[in-house]
Parts: sequence; structure tokens; C-alpha cells
Amino acid sequence: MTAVLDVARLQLGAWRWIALGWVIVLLSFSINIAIATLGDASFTTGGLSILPVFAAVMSSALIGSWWPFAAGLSVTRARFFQANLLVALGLAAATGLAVLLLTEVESATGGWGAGLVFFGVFRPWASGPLQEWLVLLGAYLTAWVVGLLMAAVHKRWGGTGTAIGIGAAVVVPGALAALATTLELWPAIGRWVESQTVTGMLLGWAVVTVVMTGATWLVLRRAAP
Amino acid sequence: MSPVVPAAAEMVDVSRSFRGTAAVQDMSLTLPQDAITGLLGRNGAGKTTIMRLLTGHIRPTSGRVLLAGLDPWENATVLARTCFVREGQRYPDGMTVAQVLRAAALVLPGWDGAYARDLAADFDLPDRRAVSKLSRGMLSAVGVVVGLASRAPVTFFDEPYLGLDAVARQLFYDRLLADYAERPRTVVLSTHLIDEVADLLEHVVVVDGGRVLLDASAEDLRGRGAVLTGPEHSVTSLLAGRPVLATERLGGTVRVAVDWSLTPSDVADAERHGLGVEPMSLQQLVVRTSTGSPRAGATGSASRPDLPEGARR
Repeated sequence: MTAVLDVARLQLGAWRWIALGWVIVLLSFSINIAIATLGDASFTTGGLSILPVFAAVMSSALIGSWWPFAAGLSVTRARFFQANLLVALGLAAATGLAVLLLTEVESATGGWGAGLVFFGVFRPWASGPLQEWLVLLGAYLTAWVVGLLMAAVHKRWGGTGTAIGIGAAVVVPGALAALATTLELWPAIGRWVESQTVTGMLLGWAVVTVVMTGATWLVLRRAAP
Repeated sequence: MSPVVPAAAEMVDVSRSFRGTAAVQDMSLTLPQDAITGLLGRNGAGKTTIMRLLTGHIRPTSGRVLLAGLDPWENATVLARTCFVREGQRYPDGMTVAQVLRAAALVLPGWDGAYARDLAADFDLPDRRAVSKLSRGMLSAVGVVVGLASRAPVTFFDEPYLGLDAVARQLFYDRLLADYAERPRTVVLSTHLIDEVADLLEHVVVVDGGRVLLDASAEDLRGRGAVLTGPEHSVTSLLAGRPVLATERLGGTVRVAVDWSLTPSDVADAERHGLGVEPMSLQQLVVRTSTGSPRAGATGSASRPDLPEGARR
């Protein structure tokens, strides 16, 4: 376990991506505050999505350049991957908590005194802070794993593999959507989604993320650093 | 004959292909423990592939790779005993020299921080500069510092001196030898500058076209090979069918590189025939062996050497 923690500490050396994500979030927040203060109506903005985007950037950088570095220092794939997931969990939990705290401040100040919903975007759907924290944590982890998977595919199969992967990620859902349209399934899908509980959706989401994590490992374990 | 020493690493009938192209073919070799081994060969000979196989970076397509008697693939215990300084090692963006050394300290069990700082100062490495901003030579120096200060029982240096100037290369050789004398360990060094490292090496493996051409102790090789110069008929009669690595002709004079140890009586005989006798350097031996290998094709009058039993695989 100590060895995994050491490798996790090594990977935390890529903290700049997290810091950069927060800098951009705070910039976006300042601009939105300015707009909200100038305008009359309250509004919700998606600036928070920058955090998971930077999580994906950091996780792909960890595979792209930190893994070859760690492999030279004789770190195994398994240990690097375990440490990576530990870092992801830690960052997701901490980020979720930070956003939750900022959401509390946002609520208490009536949207920063200007009716702005910047951090509390998931609040309307969540029943309680724990569920809200889990949604934030889940979004972060999913983005992280998407970054990992893309970088692992690139490591193993190069540019062609990545292009095919991205192509498949666009074409397959597109084809399924077209099929749903042809079969006139959308109303039924809509009813099914509406009937789901937030907990149920969270669980489904967790399963998808775990499956993607497993797929990443399968790709990575035969890849060369 | 060199005494039998325990193996630090072994490859048994190993082949490895990349998209159908064989980088290593049916290779068997043994790297002796607590010795400095030179892994010599031309570009694309398979030197880096051998190191990547031995450090578990890639798997063999067939055959067995053993490090300290165990498969290194995903074996944390075995790999903890190694450090692999790759030519063209990637460092994370923005990482400074000091951060590289701190990272190495985190994961390398034998890391000696004081020694690393000492070496970094010797190589004039700027602590706070990003590795990506370093010159090629300084980048190599970072690898050298990591490899030496890792004090790993098995350390692989893949072309460690690229871009290093003569002074820095000498510094590397001096520091390696001094540290090795105090703490004997297995060092594997792939290099093109054969003559420069010749005195450092205790064991030599020459590869070409993914095959081992020569696997012998440096001591065995030092006394081996000579270059005879003189009239063709005199050289031919002295050779008497013995193995020849290369022949160059200029008028009636020939210059023949031979792959056998000349006894004092051979030398006396050669001089009596009016032939010039020069010892062959390790570099010449490697060049002659490699250019006579099937990959290069036996061009001109160079012929494939018939190396003594045990020296060739």
C-alpha cells in the first residue's frame, strides 16, 4: 500500500492541470458574476463543467507522459493504475466537497447577491447534500476515466486507434439514436428516464464508469509505456 | 575461459516483432551479475528492444525473459531492483530537474539523494529548469544522474551519452567506475562509442539484425583479433584457412582482419614473412563482426567470421 501511495504522490506532481482548471472556473465565475450583476434576471451557467474537462486532461497527461516516466523508474502498470485511481478518487472527493461548500455559500447569499447559479447546478435534482456530492464526484470520475481510456487507446494503438475509437464513440450512439427514431422509441425512452430515481441513475452511471475503468485497464495492461 | 558467474538477466529463445517486423529473433543471452556489460550494435540492431524486454516494458512474442531468475513482466519485486534510463526518455511537461530527482526518490528503493545532488552539480544541471528546456546533452545528463543515483542492482543505460560532450562523457565513465568499485552491481550500457567505453566493459554482447553476433567476456575479446598487412601470398600462407573477418586490397598488398588470437610464435612467423601485425580494437572487432553479419550482407571481400565455440550464439 505504501508503494501505491508513493506512486500516487508521484502522479500528484501533475497538479498544475487541476490548478489551471480552477483558475479558468474562477475566471468564468467572475465574468458570470459581472453579467448577473449588470442584468436583472437570475440565471444558471455551465462554467463548472470546466473542472471535469481538466480532470480528463490531467488523466490523459498522466498516461501520456507520466506513465513512461514512471515506467523508467520501474513502476509496474498495475501499481501506476491503482495509484491513478486513488488520485482520481481523492481529487473527485475533494473537488465535490469544494463545489458543495461553494454551493452552500451560493445558496446563502442568494446566488452571490445577483441570482447566479454557478456551483449549484445539480441541486435541483439532488435530494440532499450527500446525493449532490455523489453526483459531483461521479461527473468528475467519469470525465477522468474518459481521459484515461482515450490516452490508453492512443498508447496502445496510436493515432489510428484513437481516430477509430472517437469515430466509434460518435457513430455508435448516433446509429442507436437513428434506430430509436426509426422505431419511434423516443416517447418510451422519455417515459423510462422520467420513471428513474436519482439514486437509480447514479447507480447506472457508476456501472458505466466502472466498465470504462475496466476497459482502460485491459487496454493499458498490454500497452508499452 | 572466464569463470561462470551468476546471471543478472537472461533471454531464452526470445523473439519480438513489431507489426510483423522482427526486432529480436530467437535470441538467447545471459547478462552476468555484478558486471558492466556493453550492449553493442548498429542502429536498429535490437539493443533498445532487448532492454525494454528485460525491464518488462514489452513482452516477448515468444521465448522467456528472466530478471534475477523471474519474469519481470508486472513483477514489482523484481522491477524494484532495476532502473532503465532510456534514450529519448519522456519527462512530464514542465517537470524541473529537481522534481525529477524528487520523483525518483519517491519510487526507487535504493535512491541516494545526496549522491544525486552531487552528480547534478558535477554535470552543471540547473535545478529549477524544466527538463523540456534542456539541451540534448543536459537531458542525457539527467538520465545519467537518475541511473547512477538509483543504485539499482540492475541498471540499464540506453545510449546514455547522446549529446554529452567529451568532458561530460568522461565524467560519466569516471563516476560510474568509482561508484561501481564501491558498490558492485549489474550495469548494462548500450553504446556506439565502443572504443571509448572498451576499458569499462567486463562483458560484451554484440547484436545485429535482432540476433546476437558475439557474447563474450571483454577479457576474452581483448586478446582476440588482429590485423595483418603485407603481400597477398605471404598473408594467405600464414592464414592457412583460418577465419577472416575482412580483407582490403591495395595493389599487391592486403590488409586482413582475422578473428583469432595470435600466439607469440604466430607474431614471430608473421614478422618473418614481412607482415605488419596490429592488435584489433574492440570497435574494429564489432564493426568487422557486424558488417559481416547476414543483415549487412557479406559485401566485397568481407566474409562471415567463424567465431570460436562459446563466443557466438
